[in-house]
Amino acid sequence: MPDEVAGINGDDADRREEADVVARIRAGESHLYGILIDRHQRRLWWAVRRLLNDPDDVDDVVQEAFVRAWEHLGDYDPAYRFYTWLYTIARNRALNVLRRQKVRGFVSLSADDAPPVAHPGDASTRAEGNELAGALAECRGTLPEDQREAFDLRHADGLSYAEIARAIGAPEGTVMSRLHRARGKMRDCLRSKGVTWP
Amino acid sequence: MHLDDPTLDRLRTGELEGPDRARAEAHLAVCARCAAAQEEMEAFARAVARGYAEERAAGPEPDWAARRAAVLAATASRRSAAPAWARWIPQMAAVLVAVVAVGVLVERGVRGPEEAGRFGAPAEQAPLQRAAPPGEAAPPEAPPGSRDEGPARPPVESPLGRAQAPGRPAPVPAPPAVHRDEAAPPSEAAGAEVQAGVREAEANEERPAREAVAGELLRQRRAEADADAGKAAARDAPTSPLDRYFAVGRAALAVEDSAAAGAALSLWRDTLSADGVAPTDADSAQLGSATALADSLAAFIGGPPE
Repeated sequence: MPDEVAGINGDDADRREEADVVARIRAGESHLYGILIDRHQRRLWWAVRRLLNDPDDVDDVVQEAFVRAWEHLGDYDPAYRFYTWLYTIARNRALNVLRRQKVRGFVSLSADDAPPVAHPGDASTRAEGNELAGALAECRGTLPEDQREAFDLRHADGLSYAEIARAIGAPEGTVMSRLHRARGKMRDCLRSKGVTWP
Repeated sequence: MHLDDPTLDRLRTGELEGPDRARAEAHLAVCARCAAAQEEMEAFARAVARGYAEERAAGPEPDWAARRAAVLAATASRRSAAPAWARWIPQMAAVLVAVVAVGVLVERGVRGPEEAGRFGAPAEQAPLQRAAPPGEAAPPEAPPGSRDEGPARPPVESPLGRAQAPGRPAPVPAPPAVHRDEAAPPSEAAGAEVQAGVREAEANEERPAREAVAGELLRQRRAEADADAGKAAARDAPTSPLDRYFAVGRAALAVEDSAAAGAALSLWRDTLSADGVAPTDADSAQLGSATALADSLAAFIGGPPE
């Protein structure tokens, strides 16, 4: 297994297991697709929720991503975790939603097409009563969109550098750079809000 | 040289492997600054992860079972799990079906409507041969062995050719066609007509004789009106008395006229009385016929009522 596609914290075993599940689905055991849904839908929903403000849009994008993954399961590369591929599909569809909203004047997209953050106020409201969650949401809102997405994929979704690079279509070195800068800013922001860690 | 942020982060998650991992761990063992940075990286990551977890716990989430069911329902009606090349199979199959369909239509057009019925489509029959109207004899059927000869087969328009001629005026409905190979013999009605015609022709051939007989009878009756009708008839009659007897007697039997039959018998008796014996100018065959005719005339007169 190439080093750059290795999972984190033992996720390589999950990758192999998922590759086996996908192979069985392709062989005709379509009912096993529920395993992949159960394993990834919650994480994917929250990942998309951090990209889109409207929960209804999130629901639609997540469902469409699963359906499209089902339809194109033959294109899945088992060298990578299923979630990485699934997130890529969902991200593209979320960007389509954002482009439609841009046409309608709702949001603006950055030049590199990175999705904008969901409104920080919404995240703070959702995390009301949770000081750490509120601070985290506010600090994430201060990051550039490309850094924020990399930070979320790394620390919320647990993707490896290689997986992040694959998911967002950027070189791995760029991912390292974005994460390094994002972590520096987040440390400063969180400390400024009273959040401590050893 | 100290370990950088990505190296510490990748070391934390286990992504750093092989020689890179060995070098990083060796450095951490001897570098207190990097070891502290490593501890801080792990603590920072745990804090951030806890923040994400709190966010998820605080925020409303969908009904995951319902979302799962919705995805499965959406995927149930869709073809799935096929590799990229296999997704072209339906399109390739559709193209194959279209090619076969076109081939079938072309074949039907080439082979003519007599084969079309095999495919369940209504056969469009060309007016190969007009059905003979009643009383009109059907044209003669092609002789055996000539059915496949080109000049004898009228051109057949294929359905495909017709379909590919937009704007073409609608063809005038042709009368019910009869396929050349299935050319029916004259119908029973036509056969009856022919037979009736034959009988009529045969009857017409008898008409002159009947008319001759009638004329002779009229003449005989006029002669009977005469006081000496038998003798007058014998005088006016041509040739020998025996010939006049034969002519009147046979005519009387032909038209079943008893009066004429009586007149013929009078002629016969006159012939016998005149000569006293059988006429000598007649041979034995004529005498036999004359005697047989006389017997017939006598039987006839005694038979049917006057």
